[in-house]
Amino acid sequence: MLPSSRLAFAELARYISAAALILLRIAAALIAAAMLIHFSGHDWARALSSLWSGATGIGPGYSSVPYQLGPISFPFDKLLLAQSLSRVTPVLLCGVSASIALRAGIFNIGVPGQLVVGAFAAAIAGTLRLSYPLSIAVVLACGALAGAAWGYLAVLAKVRRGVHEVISTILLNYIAVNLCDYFVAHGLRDLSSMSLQTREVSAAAQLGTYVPGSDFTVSFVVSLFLAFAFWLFMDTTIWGFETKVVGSAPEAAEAAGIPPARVQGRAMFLSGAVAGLCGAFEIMSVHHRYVNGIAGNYGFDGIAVALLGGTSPLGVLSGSFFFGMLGSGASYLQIQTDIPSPVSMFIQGIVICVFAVRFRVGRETVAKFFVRFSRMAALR
Amino acid sequence: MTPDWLIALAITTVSSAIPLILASQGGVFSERSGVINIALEGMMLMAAFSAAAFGQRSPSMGLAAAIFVGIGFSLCHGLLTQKAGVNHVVSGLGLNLVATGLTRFLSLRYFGDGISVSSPPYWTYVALAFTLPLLAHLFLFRTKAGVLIRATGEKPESVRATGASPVRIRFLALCLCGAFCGLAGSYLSQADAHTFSRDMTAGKGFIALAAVVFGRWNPIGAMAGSLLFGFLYALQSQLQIIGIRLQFLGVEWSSPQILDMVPYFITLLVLLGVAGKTSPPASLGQSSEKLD
Repeated sequence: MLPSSRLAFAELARYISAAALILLRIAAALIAAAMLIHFSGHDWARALSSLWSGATGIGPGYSSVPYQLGPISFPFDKLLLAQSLSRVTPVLLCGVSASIALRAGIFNIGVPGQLVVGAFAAAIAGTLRLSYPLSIAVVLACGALAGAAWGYLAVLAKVRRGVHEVISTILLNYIAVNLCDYFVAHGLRDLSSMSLQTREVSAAAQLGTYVPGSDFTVSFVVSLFLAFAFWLFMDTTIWGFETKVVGSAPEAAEAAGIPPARVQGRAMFLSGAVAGLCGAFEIMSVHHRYVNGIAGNYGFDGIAVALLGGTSPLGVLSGSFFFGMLGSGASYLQIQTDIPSPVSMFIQGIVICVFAVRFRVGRETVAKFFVRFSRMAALR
Repeated sequence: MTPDWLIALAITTVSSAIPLILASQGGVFSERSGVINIALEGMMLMAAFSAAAFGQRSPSMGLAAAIFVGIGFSLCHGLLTQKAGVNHVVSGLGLNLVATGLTRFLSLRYFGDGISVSSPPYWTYVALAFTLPLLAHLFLFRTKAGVLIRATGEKPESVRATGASPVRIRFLALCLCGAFCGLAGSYLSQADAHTFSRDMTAGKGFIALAAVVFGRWNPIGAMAGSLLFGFLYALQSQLQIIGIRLQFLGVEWSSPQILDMVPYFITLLVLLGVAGKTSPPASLGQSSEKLD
């Protein structure tokens, strides 16, 4: 038997190799991006450093001040970081939304559509003249319910008619955007503005920002809380267990008396509700009204994050931070260096492909290497 | 209804159905061999971009580049799903993002001032779109290679038992898929728009996939589905051009938002009516790890 210290070391080596693999994969995506930037005639090193400071606020920003962290001092822009974190919120919420469905074995590609419908309902509810705490509750409830209903449509089509959810939700996404835009154009439009948008929501339905000039509000905290609540729910309740069984082994679920259709319906309802909440938060903390294109790319980012993170808490959380901050960094990059910001989508796509690759030998080999290396070091 | 109106409708139907027909043929081959392919969208986009990039000087160069890039991108999907064990939907999502990001980036960088692309004669695309499905049908149901592709989609183990490699057959099917998407992309930027605009596929890959389901995974059926969806697009755009106002039940049916929505909505209705009665290839989306 191995002594316990050796076991602990092997465990440590495994963690280190896992971390090394993650860093390698991110590096691969960034190298691809650097090559793209370089061959299109830009300075790749400056681009990557702008991307970094736009994402983290560390480095030269709009108004960086020296910041002391222990022995190191570096320029730091609080505003950039706050703005960056405010873009993590929707990705995280959409990631949670997609994760819920995925746990039940459903590819919810409809997150963007559910987000739009939720945002639209929230924007309408926000124009009602309600007093402060009630207004927030009503807006959130409307967003969540609208998103949930929209998500439920796809599961109805799947269960009743056997339409694969990947196709039906993609179609529902287009329908959602056009339907909401129709209502904005016909009757719910803000007539004082030239563009197609609803009236601004009442002040009682807006969330104040923590850092002036940014969209960083309490929604960030709520999204973190919701993420943890989801995994707690999935791992400790019977509902969560049923969902997992249906997702991983539908036949076993049926044999055990768990109705897959009902569990999947429930999961899509919750998934849509979280996506709708995400829309409501976007209204309350960022846009304050429904505008065309409000969903951005958050829905697809969330789906990707959920798939990559394998719906695990750490995976989805870190993925959301990466994707959200990357998007923010790319916006800053475009302002600073006129390198088009879609480069972030390119990086994300590569990241998705690279991370989804299952190395059949990779991790074990690296772990073995570390163990052998440590043994050699110990002998000497 | 004047005949002029009808002719315009027919022409628009064909012109908007051509990319759908071509892409849906690719979808049929891919899905018949067992590979879920939501990357049709990305393949078309990449192909449309390369057709625009290389088609400025000579039209045939553009066409060749589109087919080449389509096949290359399709092989990426093959590598990821068949060799690296990536989930088919994940790979498709990733590749679509890569295509969107890359083409947006490069078109902002290089086509910033707008470009105009030359095209092979328009009738070639029409001819291809209406003959290739028939050839695809013959290929899939009358040749040995076709049988192998279909068998791989249904039961790859049995193909393996005959000594053929299911993975290699899937790569072959994906090559065909990429070539079809290349044609579709080349049509979009060369023959249809004569330029490249960002996200110009606008969901056509997904509609083509819906046409595949509608056509029960048959080339001819997929063509019929594509024509239906092309007709809906055409109806929508013609109604917008004519500008009739249709209003009842308090809804402005002729508003651009509703008309834009119609193709997607009808597609969904059609799938609701059709899907339950058909079954996709049995090994669709299956990982190849068990095979090799």
